[in-house]
Amino acid sequence: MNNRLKVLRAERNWSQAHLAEALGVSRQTVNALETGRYDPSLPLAFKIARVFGQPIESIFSEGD
Amino acid sequence: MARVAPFSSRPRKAGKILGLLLVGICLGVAGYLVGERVAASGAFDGLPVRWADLLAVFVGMIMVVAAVATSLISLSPALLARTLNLEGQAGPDEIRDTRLQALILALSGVIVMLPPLLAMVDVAAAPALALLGLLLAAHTALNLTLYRRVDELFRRAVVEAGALTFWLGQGVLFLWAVAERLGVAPALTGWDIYVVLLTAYLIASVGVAARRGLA
Repeated sequence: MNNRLKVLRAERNWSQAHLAEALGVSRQTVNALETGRYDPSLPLAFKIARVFGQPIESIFSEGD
Repeated sequence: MARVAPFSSRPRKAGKILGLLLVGICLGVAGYLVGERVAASGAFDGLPVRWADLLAVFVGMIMVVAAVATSLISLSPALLARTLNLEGQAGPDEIRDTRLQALILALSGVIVMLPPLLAMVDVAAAPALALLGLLLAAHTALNLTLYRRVDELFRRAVVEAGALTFWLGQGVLFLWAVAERLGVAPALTGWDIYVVLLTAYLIASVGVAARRGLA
C-alpha cells in the first residue's frame, strides 16, 4: 500500500514526534509508515485520517 | 500517489551492514582461536557436551553481546536515534524501552546458556530447575511489561516473528523427524528441539525487525 504521510507531514511542518504523539504511536512507527515498511491497522488509519483532516482514500492508495 | 521511499539512506544502511559484518567476522575468528586453544588444553575432555549445548551457548552469547551493544548505544540519544532511524535525538521513553528490550535480550541469552553450563558443573537438578524457573518468571514479567508499553508496530513484529518461527521450526523439525523415522538421523531430545526453535526465533526476529525498519 502507498501513502502520502511524509508529504502531508512536511506540508504542515510537523516533526515525527508531533505526529507520533497525535497518533499515540512511537516515532519508529511513524517512520515505518512513511517509508512503506508497515501498513497501519484500520483503527490507526482512521486516526491518521482524522489527524490530517482528510479521508482515508486520499492518504492511502493501493500499490505494489 | 507515489510512495516516499528512503532511497538516500540505502548507501548508509549498506555501509552499516558491511561494518557489522566485518566486526562479526573479526569476533568470530577471535572466538574460534580462543575456543581452539581451550579445546586443545583438554578443558572439555569428558564433559557431556551435545551439539545443542554448543548451539545454545552460541545463540546465548549472540543475545548477550547484542544486548550489551544495544545498552551502550542507548547511552547516546543521538546515536540511538540514528540506529532507530529517528529524527533528532532519542527521547526518554525511547531510551527506556530500548534498555528494557536489551535487558530482556540479555536475560534470554543467560537463560538459554545456563542449562548446559549448570549440567557441566554438576549442580543438583532441583536448585538449578528452581533458578531457571525464577529467571523465566522474571523474563515473562519483563516481556509482558514491554508488550503492554509498545504500540501496534512492535506487536505486529512479535506476531510475525512467532509465525515465521513456527514455519521455520516445523520445517526443520519435520525433516529431522523424517530422517529419524527412516533411521538415518539420531533421536532428538526436548532440549535439542527447544534450541532449534530458539535459533529459528532469533533468525525470524532479526528478519522481521529489519523488514519493518526496527533494526
